[in-house]
Amino acid sequence: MSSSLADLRKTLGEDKVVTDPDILRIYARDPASFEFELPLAVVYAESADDVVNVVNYAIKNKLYITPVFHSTSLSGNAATVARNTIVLSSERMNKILEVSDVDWLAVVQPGIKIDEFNLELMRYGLQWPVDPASSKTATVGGSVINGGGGVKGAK
Amino acid sequence: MNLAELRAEASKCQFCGFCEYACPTYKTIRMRHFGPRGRINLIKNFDGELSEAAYIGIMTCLACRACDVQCPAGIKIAEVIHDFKAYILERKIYKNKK
Repeated sequence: MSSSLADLRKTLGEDKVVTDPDILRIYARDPASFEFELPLAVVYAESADDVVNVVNYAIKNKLYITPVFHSTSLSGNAATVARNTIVLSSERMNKILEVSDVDWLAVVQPGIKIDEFNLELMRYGLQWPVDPASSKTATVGGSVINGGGGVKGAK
Repeated sequence: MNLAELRAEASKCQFCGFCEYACPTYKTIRMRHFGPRGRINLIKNFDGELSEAAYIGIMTCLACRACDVQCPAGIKIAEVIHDFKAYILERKIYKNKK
């Protein structure tokens, strides 16, 4: 492990940075089966502060970041194709922070799954209409950064 | 199932992640190796050695079989993980990769 990753581990906490090659290998790919490079580490962000820390480290050490949610992209968006990459996993950022049925506004963390989010919205008579075929496991953040669609996506 | 059959069954995984929706350990821990997709791919990538994190991920499978019905490829996920557990325990293959 390079010294920079040791620093990252110190900043974020032991359990949030994984450098085990067996684990890195299952984070390096998505269903597109692209050729991938093994990332340097997987970082499990739990808050916006964690993300800021990872971005600062990546800039300081000239590393790439691949944001990964649940890796359901069929077009290789979640595969680590560059060397010196940190996988920034938002799997643990899965909270609904606010839902307003008056303003039709919801504030969520990016790692919440689309179907989990819609289950909560049903209580308010609302829906988040983006529904890719993988909505059972795809996330709100992932569908936003990859332009997720689905039959209701144009709404 | 023997190791070749386990690998053959695991290699059907298309990495869709639908199985994670139902997995109680994944929902609790939210790390890929604590979910069926991660476990199946650890078995698929198995090269005779297993790191500690991978070992813990595989051994924490509850064998509840909630993932089996979710898999579009029809992989017998719980059975593969169960038989792989038996394989690594019989041969004492664990925590031996740095």
